[in-house]
Amino acid sequence: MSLLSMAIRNLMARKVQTALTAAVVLVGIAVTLAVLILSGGVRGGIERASEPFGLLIGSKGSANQLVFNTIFLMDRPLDNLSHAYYEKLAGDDEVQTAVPFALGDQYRGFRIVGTSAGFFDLKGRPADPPYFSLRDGRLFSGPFQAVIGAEVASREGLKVGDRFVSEHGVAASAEPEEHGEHPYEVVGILKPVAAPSDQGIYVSMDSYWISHEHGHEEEGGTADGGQEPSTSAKASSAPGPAVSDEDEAARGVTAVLVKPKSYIGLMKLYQQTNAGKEAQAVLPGQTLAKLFDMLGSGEQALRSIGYVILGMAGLTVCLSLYGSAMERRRSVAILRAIGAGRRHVMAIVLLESSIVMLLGCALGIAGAYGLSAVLSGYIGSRVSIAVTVGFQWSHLGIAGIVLAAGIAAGLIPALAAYRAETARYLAIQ
Amino acid sequence: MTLISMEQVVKRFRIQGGIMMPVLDVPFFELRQGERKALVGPSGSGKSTLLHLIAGISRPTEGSITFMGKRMDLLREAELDRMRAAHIGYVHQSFQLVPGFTALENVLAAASFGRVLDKRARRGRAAELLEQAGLGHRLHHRPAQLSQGEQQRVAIARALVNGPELLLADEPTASLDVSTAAQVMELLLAAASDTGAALLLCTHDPEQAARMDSSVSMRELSRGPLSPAKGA
Repeated sequence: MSLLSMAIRNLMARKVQTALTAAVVLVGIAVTLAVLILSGGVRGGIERASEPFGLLIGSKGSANQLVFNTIFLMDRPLDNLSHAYYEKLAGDDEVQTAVPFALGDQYRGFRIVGTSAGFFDLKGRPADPPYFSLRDGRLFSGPFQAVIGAEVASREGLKVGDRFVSEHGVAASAEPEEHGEHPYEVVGILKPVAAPSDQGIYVSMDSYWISHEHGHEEEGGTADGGQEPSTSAKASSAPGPAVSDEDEAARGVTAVLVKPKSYIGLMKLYQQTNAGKEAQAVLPGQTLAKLFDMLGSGEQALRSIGYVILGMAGLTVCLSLYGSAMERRRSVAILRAIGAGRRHVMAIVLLESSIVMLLGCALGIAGAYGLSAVLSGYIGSRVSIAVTVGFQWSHLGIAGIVLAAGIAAGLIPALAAYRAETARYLAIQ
Repeated sequence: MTLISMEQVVKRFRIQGGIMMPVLDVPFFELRQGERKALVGPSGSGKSTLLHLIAGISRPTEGSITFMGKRMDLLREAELDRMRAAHIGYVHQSFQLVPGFTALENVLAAASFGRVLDKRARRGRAAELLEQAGLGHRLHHRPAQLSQGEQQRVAIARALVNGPELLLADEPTASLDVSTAAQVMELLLAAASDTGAALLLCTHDPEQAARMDSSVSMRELSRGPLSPAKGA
């Protein structure tokens, strides 16, 4: 009979105590690691979602709002940039592509984004394939044709060829003001990208402007219901007929997604834009870093809670091991009486605490990934961000530290067993 | 041939105030190989302490103990443990079985520490001894699932598993009813006789003492009352 099997038999004889001790370790590890895994996963998901957007240029105001508008399709849109500004930007020597991005309408809470075909060519890095690709159908080629995100298609059951009527404003309303005279036809459905973009409905700029000019007309405006205006060669939209000055004012964009030709061009554009009075340039990475800093304090609080739970788990393990050592003094004395050396009994007790800690840590790691998988699915469904639950050695490192601390705590009862006076405890009935 | 000899053995325990309280003072004691001797005396007379000293469970404060030609009082603790495991079988009044182990595991544990038998032979020998003790059907029962008589028979099987030269029995029937006590006593005597092991039996019972080759009372063995000493 090996020392290990003796340790296992001792643990089996105290099933409830063993299970409770392992459960405390399990909960401590699972909560702490789940916080770390999910916070890393959310950051990763947000960073991946922002990759294709490049430099964002919008009207002066909150940089966060501009990022929320474009990357997350959230928040009230900033004031529009004028079409002339967009044209000037598209014609800038430093600019490779300038994709318009206009918000204003929605369909059952899903934002309708006026943009150009260039939007679908956006890439994270130059060598990457386009970020967006079609699952069904084709891209829009005329007014009131829509390419919808994967989540819009799945949640609303829309297929290629279906029609829907947009509603004015960026949020769903109980009494929506519908653009009933201009229904959209679904001509394409995008493959999911596990990002907020999956919740977007993408239409041509002329569709967007016609809807809004119609709105102005109804309000006494003089829109001509024309098509998308002409742009420079670098502006990624189809040329359209000339428009009046009044239309020109209405034909703004919420943001322009700019890919500069070079890093120097990027910095020049960034500085020039921010130095001007009309627009702001935002690097999503910088804004997200600030956002993460802000979230970091909350994350730190959650992490601290996890560490407190771990600390309590550690104390409980110590208490449990110490209690069991006190209970087992007689068993230890019996083993010593039949010839076990001090090192034998110390090893048995240490093995017992190690087994409990190993069990708790292993189940805790499994629990952390299980919990993270469940919560990442929930978070993903709420914000359309792919929260990846990835393995990291640092997670095992934390579990390893807890394991080592638990085994070290096991030294207390092990030393108690080592030092136990056999004759004294044999007398205990 | 002498198996154990004790000379001028004194055992004192430290009590409150650092006072060393004497509990045993044995000028001379001897047990020969294969001898069966009863140690008779009332509770508190030091019988168990004497057995602990012989088994190397505790060390004498003064004097010498020689077992199988080795000075037990001079051995390092690990050597004492090995001697105890391989050469001494101990049967206690309160059985002293490990509660979490089955009957078979209690015997196997002693075999593992004794290292007298080959690893593969241990399980077979343990099961054989338990079957001889009438516990063939109880191998996988824990102590709590066994009667007191059965527990003491497991303890006897455990004491015998390494084929010891010495069996120490500390009032082995004191916790048992008359009928069970008789069965256990028969088993113990038969085991000592079959293996040729010496048997030192602590008992209150004159009938049990009478069945031994010789008997000695603690009053005869021990010197008169000792005075407490200050310090170690």
